[in-house]
Amino acid sequence: METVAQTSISRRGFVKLGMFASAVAAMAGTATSNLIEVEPALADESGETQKIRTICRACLNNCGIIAHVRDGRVVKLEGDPDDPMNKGAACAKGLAGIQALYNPNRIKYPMKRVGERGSNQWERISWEQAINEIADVMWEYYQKEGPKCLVTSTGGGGNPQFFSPARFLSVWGGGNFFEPGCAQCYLPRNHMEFCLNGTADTSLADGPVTEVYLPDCQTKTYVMWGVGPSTHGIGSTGRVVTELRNNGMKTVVIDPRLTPDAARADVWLAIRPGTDVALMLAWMRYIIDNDLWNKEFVTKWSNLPFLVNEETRLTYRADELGLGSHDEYVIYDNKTKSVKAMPYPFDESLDPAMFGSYELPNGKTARTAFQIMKEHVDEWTLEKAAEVCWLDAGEIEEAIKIYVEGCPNAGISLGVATDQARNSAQAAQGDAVLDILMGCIRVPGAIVQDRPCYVEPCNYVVQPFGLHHPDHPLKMPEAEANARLGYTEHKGLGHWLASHIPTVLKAIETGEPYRPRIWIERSGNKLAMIGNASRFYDAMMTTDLNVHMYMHWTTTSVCLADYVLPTAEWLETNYAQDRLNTYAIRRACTQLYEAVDECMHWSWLAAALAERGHQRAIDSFNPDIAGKFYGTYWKTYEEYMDYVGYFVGSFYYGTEDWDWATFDAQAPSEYETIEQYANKSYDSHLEPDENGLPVGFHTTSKRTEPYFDGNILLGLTGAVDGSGSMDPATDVFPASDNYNPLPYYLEPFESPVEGDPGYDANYPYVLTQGRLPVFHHGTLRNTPWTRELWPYPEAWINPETAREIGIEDGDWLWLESKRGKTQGRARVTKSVAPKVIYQERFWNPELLDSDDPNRAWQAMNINLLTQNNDECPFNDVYGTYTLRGVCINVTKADGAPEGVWTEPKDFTPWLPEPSENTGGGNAVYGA
Amino acid sequence: MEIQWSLVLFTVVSGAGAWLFASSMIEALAKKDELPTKVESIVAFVLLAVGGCLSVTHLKHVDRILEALNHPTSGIFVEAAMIGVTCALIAIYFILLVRGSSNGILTGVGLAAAVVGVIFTFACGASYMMDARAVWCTPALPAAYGLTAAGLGTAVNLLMKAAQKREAASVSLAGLLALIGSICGLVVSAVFLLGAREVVVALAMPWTVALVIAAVVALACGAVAWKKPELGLALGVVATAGACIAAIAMRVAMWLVGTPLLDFFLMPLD
Amino acid sequence: MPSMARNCIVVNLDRCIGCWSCEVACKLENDVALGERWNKVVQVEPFGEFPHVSTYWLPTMCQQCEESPCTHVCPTGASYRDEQTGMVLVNKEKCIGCKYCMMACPYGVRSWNEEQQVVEKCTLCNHLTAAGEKPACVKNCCGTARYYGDLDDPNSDASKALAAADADAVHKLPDVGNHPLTSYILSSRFGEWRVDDLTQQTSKYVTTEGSVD
Repeated sequence: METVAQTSISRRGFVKLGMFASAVAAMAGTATSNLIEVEPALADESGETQKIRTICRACLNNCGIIAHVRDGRVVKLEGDPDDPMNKGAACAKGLAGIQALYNPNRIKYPMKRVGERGSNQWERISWEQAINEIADVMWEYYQKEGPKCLVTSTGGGGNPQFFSPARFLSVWGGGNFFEPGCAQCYLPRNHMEFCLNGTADTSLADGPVTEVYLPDCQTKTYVMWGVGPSTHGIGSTGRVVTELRNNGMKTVVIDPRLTPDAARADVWLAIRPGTDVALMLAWMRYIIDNDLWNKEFVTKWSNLPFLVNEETRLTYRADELGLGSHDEYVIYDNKTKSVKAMPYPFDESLDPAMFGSYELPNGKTARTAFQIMKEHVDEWTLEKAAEVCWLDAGEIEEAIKIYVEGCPNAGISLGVATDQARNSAQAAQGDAVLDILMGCIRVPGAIVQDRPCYVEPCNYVVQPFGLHHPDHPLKMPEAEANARLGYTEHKGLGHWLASHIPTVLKAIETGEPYRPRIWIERSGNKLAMIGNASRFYDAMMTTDLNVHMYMHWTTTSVCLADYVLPTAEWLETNYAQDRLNTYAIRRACTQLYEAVDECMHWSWLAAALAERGHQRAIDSFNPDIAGKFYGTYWKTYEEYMDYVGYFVGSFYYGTEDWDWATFDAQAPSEYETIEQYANKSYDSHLEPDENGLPVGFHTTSKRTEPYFDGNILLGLTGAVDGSGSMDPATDVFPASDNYNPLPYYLEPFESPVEGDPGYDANYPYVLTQGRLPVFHHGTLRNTPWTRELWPYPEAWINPETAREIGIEDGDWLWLESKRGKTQGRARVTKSVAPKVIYQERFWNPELLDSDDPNRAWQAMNINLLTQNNDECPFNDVYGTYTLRGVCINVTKADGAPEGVWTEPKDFTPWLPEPSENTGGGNAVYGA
Repeated sequence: MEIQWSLVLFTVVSGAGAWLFASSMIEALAKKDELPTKVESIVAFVLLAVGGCLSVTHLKHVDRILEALNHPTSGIFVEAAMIGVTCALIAIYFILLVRGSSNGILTGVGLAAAVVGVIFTFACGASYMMDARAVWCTPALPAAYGLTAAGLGTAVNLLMKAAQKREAASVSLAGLLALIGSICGLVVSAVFLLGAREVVVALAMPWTVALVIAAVVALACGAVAWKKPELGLALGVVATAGACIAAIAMRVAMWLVGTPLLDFFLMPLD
Repeated sequence: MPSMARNCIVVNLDRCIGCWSCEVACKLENDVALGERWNKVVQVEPFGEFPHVSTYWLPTMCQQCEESPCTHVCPTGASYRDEQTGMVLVNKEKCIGCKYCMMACPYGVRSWNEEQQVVEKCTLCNHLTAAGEKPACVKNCCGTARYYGDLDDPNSDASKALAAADADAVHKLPDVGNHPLTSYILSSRFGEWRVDDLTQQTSKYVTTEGSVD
């Protein structure tokens, strides 16, 4: 029996080993204590160094990396100068990959809990035992209670295969999948912006913003709204924005925090956390009032001239008014002074009124969508926005002017910030509306381009069965899909096949409408990343089976798991990724212990269920049923790799006969020229379809839809693309509250504004978060190089506020909200506005082996303060809970939390533990 | 910055030895006493040698000390050379003294030892005149090093003269020398520290106060011994203690205020 | 004049995005221990009136001084200037650990190797540059902010970066006669060079206007 407590002894042993290793190395003339070559002339004699081109997965950006491998060990990493996006750059997170790979804190073998849950007593078991015991419990509950007993989850940190839990659920036949990102990260933008602009979202971090990487990029103004290129995909995003900015591109940065990009912006708007939509509405008003919008584009390629039914709030179809066909919309023609059908794409003989209210043939009156928008934003003067957002009206105007000057060769990227508060959907709408108004779509230099991966799998080769094929036999049955927790109320979640975390927790807490029994989780540390972590912990302590798949021990494994299964670091996995016009490859450089790519965890579970008679699981191994596009589940890692090779070949290179070896032999390579890649987006809506008409945009109307009445249909029908029947199928999809076609602003539920109903004098400060360049989500808190750089979370406080509270730089603090309290260390700085406190998410792996492992997620974790409970309203469309813009109090603490590591040498026990290439879990287990 | 104790003690102890021998030579030249005695030579030699050894404790790789021959112009090399020469001259002086050489030869050798030794005590401070540390980069620093060593060396001389029960005139002159030594040490230390008064106030106030009190005690003892040589022994003990504390305090204060122009790595020196 | 090369790193602060990649790249390449460093990026704390504040990140490392105080004070020649490359380097086998060079360095950019008890510092990755590669911090830099090369060679990356910069955007750390080779490019569009006005508070570097007292 091996326990983590015993592991800590072996860690001390490791320190000794490390010292011995360096002593030996010193004698040999090379220092290899960190597996790093220092004097290559000598080192080269010990064995040949192989340089392997691969791609990183320390964050989501997949930068090209060259791994130096000697004697089966990764000894050095550096940026790949031939990668078209990072061009040789590699950030601290990527370079720390060696320390993550060889970290003594790795989960090395399948482990089974032997004491009470959370007692941190473990027994090493075989893969065979682990898979079979877990499958036994699953099969038992499946037969007893059906698929709803299962909850799966993933997260963005730590080499995730994003869709694999949802893929498993499609085979399992139901159940719930969640991700702490999703409604709180990227889903609102990824879904809503696409719905409105019919093209793509604007996330720089997640990949769709490709324009900026093109040679001779034409972008004149880049508005980074809560976007920090220098702190997320740094080698790619930070590098390229720096390049463009230094070549004269103007930038506006909207961020409560003075990030490196904010510091260099032409205008930095230090907005109050949670008020972004108020600012967007003011931008919209300013652009409309000052007649700055793009006449040609908005008139012809948006739905703003269309007349709107005042009762249903839907745009009229021509057949409703007897003016034309169902495919046609209705406008008021200024030339003939009459209401007319607008055929697709555009009737040049018509002169649609953009604004106004008009009488219809049926006697009712109707306003144009643009008129509704104009009235909707009318209250949002610059002065009002300035007051709400704690900004200066003149500076807001200056920012808008810089944006407008660059249009249409310009655009707005929206970052994660707005996804983390109750206005999430509206912010995504607002971002899309602004770029549509200015015609910043599919033109050179625009941020919104029609070339990324909005439907192509691309990033997501491994997909849920039936994602793009509604009739696929292994698609999750409709009744089960409709029973996903929180989906009824928040239908936007359907876009990612996800469930609503607070509703999942409520179901676990109350058994209503049903009780999930089993939780299989594949990510780093949910207790550090989920809002209101204490509630999450309490709920998950009551489930019947918790399985954690990850590379490193975290509080999810130690405090909550019954079984812990080792997954593979990015340096141990094989995968594929497009990098602009190039297709790149991730090559396993080594495989340690019994760790294995998560795709095999899910495959092995499916295989074990198939053995027990689970028919869908049996079918998932049948190529005739699963199909080539999705592939079967895989019996071996080689099968999986061949599937990846096949997929890339068929999807990108137009060949059906690739396997991994063919892919590996030529990757990375260009699947088209950079000119083809660039040009395929520009004016792509004008390309003819099979009937010779322009193909238009990927929307119901084939125009952009800044007046997104599809939002109403989404609520009524669950049609995630905003299309859907005019007749709500309420029997299958219970109607949600009508979602609003236009973005609207709600003051944060907890408000720092005195006099607001949400103001509480006991919590007078407003807390925000934001990315650091050395961590990705919950990762890399146990790699010495990154922790040395950022050993504890800093609470940034404006000097004025610090004086008010009576704290000084370097003081340890208590931060407290209505939900809990936690610690941080003061950095008194003019990087944030008065009353705004910034602190990044944190957890302390060094406390896992302490007497109370729960302190590892409690000591310095702002998610003890954030919201994930029914008292604090969620976003209607996505169910977003509030992570940024919660109100807190700050007081001085006596000192640091006991036992946390703050000094560089403290992290010595986590220095790399040299390990052999074992072939990983694949070498010891195969279905 | 961090106090480098081995370097503090090195310059204090060896400086005391150098100035003890020099003070004794001054008395002889002033014809108030004989040339430095065997005991005085031995004590001076031992102080210099012990001080030299203390400097070596500052080094992490004494085994590589011969590498110093590669760079004979560095401050450390010059200091080492001078302490070696002084010790050698005192040793020669001692041998000549034992062998009963003539006063002329002894005076010549003794004078040479005294001069090299005294210069050495200033050189110790001169090594720290680094452009990187503006508060150190002043002639007041070597002056303070040399003259606080003088304060201590003259006080030890007073103690030695009294302990050896020399003539009253000798003890009296020793008292005067101790008075002058400590006054000079105090004055130049004050000049040095006043030049850096802002950082001194911020970082080294307790040591500065100690310096002044100790130096005043030492000089007072010297003054009384000058007038009342019969109290020389007790006064010598107190003067030595005071001057020693003053010399140490001056050096400690120097380390504490030795902030570099910019210190990006914040790499502690110990 | 001896025809010694003047190799150094030039940093374009307009492009430094404070990501610390260079620090980790350096540790990885040179096996620099925890708590020790050959290169460090410090942020000049935002100064001015909020929100119109200014800040920049300042990568620091051996400045390759032409009148290098470290080599002058070194008693053993362990700190030396390489005849061929002109680089200021440390021969660790000669170092007696007296730390005079650390005292003499005006910028505190020398490091103490606790394990070997010797002084170390940035070597300009001369094991890489000798083989025609760039230093690790330069090639991995996420802002393309660092340039290596011989200032006497107009075709070196360092020379070209300087030639491309406005004369009034080129700065050096305060010079007390040591003549640092490293230049920092900071143009008025992105910031105001305030290193002469820089004081240190705990681990922060603040200007008079950036003071947080």
